[in-house]
Amino acid sequence: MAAKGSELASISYNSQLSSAIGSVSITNQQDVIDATEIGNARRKYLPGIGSTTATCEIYYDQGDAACAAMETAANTNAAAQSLVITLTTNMTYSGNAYVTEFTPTASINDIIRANVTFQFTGTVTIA
Amino acid sequence: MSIEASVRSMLTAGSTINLVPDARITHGYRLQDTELPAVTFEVTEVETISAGSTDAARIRRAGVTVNCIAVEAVDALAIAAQVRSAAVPGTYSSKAFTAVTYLNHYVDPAVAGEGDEAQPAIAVCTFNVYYTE
Repeated sequence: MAAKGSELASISYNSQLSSAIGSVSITNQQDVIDATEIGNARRKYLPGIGSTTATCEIYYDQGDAACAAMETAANTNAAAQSLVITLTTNMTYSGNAYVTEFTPTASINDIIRANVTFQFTGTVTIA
Repeated sequence: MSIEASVRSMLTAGSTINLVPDARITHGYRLQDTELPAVTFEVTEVETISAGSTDAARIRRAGVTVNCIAVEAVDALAIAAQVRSAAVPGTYSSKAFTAVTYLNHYVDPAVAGEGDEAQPAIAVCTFNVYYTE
């Protein structure tokens, strides 16, 4: 296994590419169903439902198409749109996702940032 | 062009700083016996703060310190006020300054003395410049 740099990371939401991201985090979650039977010495589980969420910090700019697309999606009852998160070259998560939270923050003596939360719906392709 | 050249272009753009001739706005230091008032500046650090598909698209932050030097503290502060006005977003020497955040300033008052003991007043301003290449 080799270490990979994050300098090429990017997010494309609704086909709008944003490179102005400070960080991105993806969570793959797999629920399990308890299938333990009487007499088992150890608990047993069956696979349940999985889901994937992602969060990122971007540098807020309403003039940036990707930023505007994410903000608009969170402010309307928009359908899920395509989301491609590139961690580095040829290492992506892609699928359709809702923007479930968009939080711009302006602090004194700092630039404006926004935290964005995505909820993938359906299949997520990791490639 | 270097970020230092771009910062100087920002400070000399227009005539916002008219208390100091452009020729006396220099990067680094000034010789002790040169004319006052003067402005020196330095870029203390540069860091890349965003990822990006190309190097040019990435946002960088440069920490900038500006020394406003005059015989009296009140004059140094007046220059510092003009530096604050000059530190605004724009395109300088081909670099796009998308945000300039003024952080703070303080004053070192003049020291009266003989020869090398004498020291002019210095108002020190610091700010962050966010830019892309």
